[in-house]
Amino acid sequence: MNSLLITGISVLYLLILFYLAFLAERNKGKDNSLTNNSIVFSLSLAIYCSAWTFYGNVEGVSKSGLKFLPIYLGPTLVMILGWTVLRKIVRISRVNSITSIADFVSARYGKDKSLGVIISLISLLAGIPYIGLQIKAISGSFVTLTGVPNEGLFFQDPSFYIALILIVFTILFGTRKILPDERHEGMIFSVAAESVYKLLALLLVGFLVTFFWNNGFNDVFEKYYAPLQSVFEIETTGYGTWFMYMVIAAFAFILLPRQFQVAVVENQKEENLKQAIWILPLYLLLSTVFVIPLALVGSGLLTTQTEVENMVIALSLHFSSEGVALLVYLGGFSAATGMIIVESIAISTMVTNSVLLPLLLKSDSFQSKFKFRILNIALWLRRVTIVIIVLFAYVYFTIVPHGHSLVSLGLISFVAVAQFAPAVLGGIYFKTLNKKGIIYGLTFGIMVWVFGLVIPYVFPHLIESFAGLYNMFSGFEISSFDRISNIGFWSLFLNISTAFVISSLIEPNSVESKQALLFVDVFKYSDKEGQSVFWKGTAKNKNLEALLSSFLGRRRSTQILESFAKRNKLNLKDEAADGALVSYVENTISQYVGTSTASMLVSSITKEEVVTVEEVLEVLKRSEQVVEHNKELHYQKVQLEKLSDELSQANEKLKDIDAQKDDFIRTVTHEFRTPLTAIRALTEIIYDNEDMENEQKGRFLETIIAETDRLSRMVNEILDIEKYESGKHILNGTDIELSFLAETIANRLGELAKEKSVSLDFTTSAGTVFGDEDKLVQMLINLVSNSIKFVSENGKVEVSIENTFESTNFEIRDNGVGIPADKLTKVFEKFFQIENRSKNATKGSGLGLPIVKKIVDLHEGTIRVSSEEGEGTLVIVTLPRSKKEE
Amino acid sequence: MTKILIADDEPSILLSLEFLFKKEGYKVFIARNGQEAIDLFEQESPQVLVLDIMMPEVDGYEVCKHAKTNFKSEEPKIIFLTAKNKEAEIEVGYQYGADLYLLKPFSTKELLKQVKNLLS
Repeated sequence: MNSLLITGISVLYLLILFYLAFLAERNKGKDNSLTNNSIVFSLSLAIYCSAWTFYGNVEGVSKSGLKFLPIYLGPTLVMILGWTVLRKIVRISRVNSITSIADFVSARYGKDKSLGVIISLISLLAGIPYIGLQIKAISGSFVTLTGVPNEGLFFQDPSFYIALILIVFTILFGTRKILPDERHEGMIFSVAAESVYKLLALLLVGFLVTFFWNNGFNDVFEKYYAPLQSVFEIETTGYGTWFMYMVIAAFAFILLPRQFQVAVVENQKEENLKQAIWILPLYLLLSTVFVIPLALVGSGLLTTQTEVENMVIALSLHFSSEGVALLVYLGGFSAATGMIIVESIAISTMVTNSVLLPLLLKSDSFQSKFKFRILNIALWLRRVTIVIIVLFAYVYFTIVPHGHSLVSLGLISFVAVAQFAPAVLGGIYFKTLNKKGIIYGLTFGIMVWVFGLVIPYVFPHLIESFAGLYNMFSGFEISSFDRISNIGFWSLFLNISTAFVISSLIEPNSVESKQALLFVDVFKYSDKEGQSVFWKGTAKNKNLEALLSSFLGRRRSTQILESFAKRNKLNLKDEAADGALVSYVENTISQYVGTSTASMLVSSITKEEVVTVEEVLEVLKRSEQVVEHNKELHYQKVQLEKLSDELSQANEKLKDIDAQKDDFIRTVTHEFRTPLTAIRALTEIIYDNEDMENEQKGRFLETIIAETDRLSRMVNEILDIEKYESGKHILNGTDIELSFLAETIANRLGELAKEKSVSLDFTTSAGTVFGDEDKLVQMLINLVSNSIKFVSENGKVEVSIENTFESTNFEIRDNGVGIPADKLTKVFEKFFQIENRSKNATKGSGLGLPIVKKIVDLHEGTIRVSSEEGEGTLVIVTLPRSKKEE
Repeated sequence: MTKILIADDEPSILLSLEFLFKKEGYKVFIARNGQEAIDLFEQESPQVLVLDIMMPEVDGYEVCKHAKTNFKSEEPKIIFLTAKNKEAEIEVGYQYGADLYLLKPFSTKELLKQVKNLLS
């Protein structure tokens, strides 16, 4: 494939990502914010899966079996067992306006600048080769895809241009402007999108290779497993190595600059972690599902080194078209670029905030000249640092021997950042750890790392010069560990023990003690809003205002200062500034340039006095009370809100019931009016017309009687229904002979049927039904009389009451006018009436069927009505024959 | 002879109204729902319509609207005779173009008087 085309597609891909970032940033803070949710957060954590996951794992399996697994088990364990650790780091970072891991460490150990420098340099040392690896991966995939080996000078090398393009995008993503809290929502969103894409690409090729080009997992194993069998049988050294890899990966997952950036700095709220607990492990699991089949097939079919290194692409090419290979290539490109962008932003931020700015501010002339233009300088320093980092990474990739795999070089970086573990993880749980201890520990750890890993892997020709040392070290090697685990173990062992031993020997200064307290007991002294920090010394309000406005602009800074003054009852017009305000300004500036720089800037315009440990404890005690108090208040507030919610719900319910009652009364009075109208009109007519014919008068009187009946029936039925609805009707159950029911109905309605010349027939089976006699009789009367009413003369009504094994079925069938289909569901509504076409019949109450329904419900039965207009109606009531008879 | 059309879905009310108007010498037509009323209106062109409002399918309002817009020669007078007694409901009745809105239960004498007034 043409390399220009691939470059074009890669750039297009980056542009799409950038557009996504743009969309996310446009909507941030709004209700439809794309980034403020735990799924995007969890996916951004998957930046852990770099090109190493995409290409390296498969290659790794083909050489050393299952060794890749602990790299994913480590983070899984962190998320599942150690998420509270992450939460603590997030809380501390939020409260202290931390912008990077270097910032974090230096803030913890008394805002010490030298520690920030050390952490930044180690990150740089470990990060540049790691970024170099990603460029190598892109370049390798390029070569595999084009089939043209890469043998020119750098300006003939496509990956050089890709590196340049990446620099541009990184600067666009990360340093268009400096944001408080160092949050780049657009970048995070596009990283999450990349995570989705790279996983899909990996699953795609895995699926195709396993199920499409082979016949499933079994088929793959049968065909390709044999040659690799020896690799999979874990050597005797295996388990120790596994364990050590897992520990190192777990540390790296928290401490790698890019992981700290996405998990801590960019994290918008602690709650995000709760979803990540399962999303991230699931992601890691999915990304490893096809690793083994891919590796098996790949090592069976591919031969050249480049092919093996880029197995997923080579396999796509081997089996299929360039199209699939291109999709897969973009997955690897995603993995690599995501890592490069976030890692270089994270490192550039820490180098700028913790190394360059503090260094520049040391010079008095720089300070006096640029003190109020730091923001712009910071921005440019970051951009320049990004350029340098990526270029160095490119250089690293071109000059360093190509023999080592992605896996081993990646692990070397992991071991380096794992050295931060005592400083960060120890630092948030052990107050005893102090600056000196950490510095010595880190130094020893890194020395072991350089000696044991950097020299042998990167500068192997130097081994000769230290032959004596290496011989000595081999005496310490633990036989169940491989080389990387050995160095990982010994470097960490030396680092941790030195840190604790030295810390216990040396007294910390008061700032260190203060910071140690604030970090370790963060949940005691702060809530999600922040903590009350303290500062003692002399400072002037107007200087603080000037400094703050150089970051925020005059308007915004006046605004937040005034609201702070109001909250804390301070007067900004005073000449002398309150200590709380100094802390607040420092904390706010930290969000932009990190704690080291911020503290230097603030101390350049103030005179700080030493705070004794007693004073610190005094203040902390107070803030602890405040936090407790706030918690109590918050609890009360939540309780109150709950209570008022319940109240308003109850109120709503009452209102509903009230409205229903109103409705009911309105309907009832309206229904009463109809018979009353007829009665009044008819009686008036009779009264006014003494000369009426007798026959006419008789008909009128008959109607009056019928309407009066209707009225009194309505009254009874309304009362009845009300009784059902308020639960006052109880089931007075006995065993009733079915034939008895039939006889009762025949007696009560026989006359009515005869009057209308309707035939009324009963069929019953032997046996009994358990139920309330009065109510069942009423139910049948309502149903049967309804039927009689709606059949024409000489019509037919058939009633059958029969027991089956599990139920008693009442069927009432007539050949009357029937019910239109659209009315079927309404017949059980109160006051609903079917139009009766038979002339001069008085209407019903509209309550007969609703009462039937209530009776059926009371017996826990069901009622169904089916009807064909003009053909007749069938009502089936089914009552369960249950409990009583058992 | 003045033609009068009565529409109501209550048989007993129809019974009374039919007797009442016949006795006064009107020619009475009876409809038991809205559709029947419209059909009869088309056939007979009555001068007066006494309409219930709540009838199945086609309600009194519809009949009123139809009659007021589709009359042949002379505009018919329309009386709503209904149990809908709220101010707002009466208002709606007049908006549909009714000439008179009477409430149920009604006095027979009053009804006859009002009809006479309307026709004079």
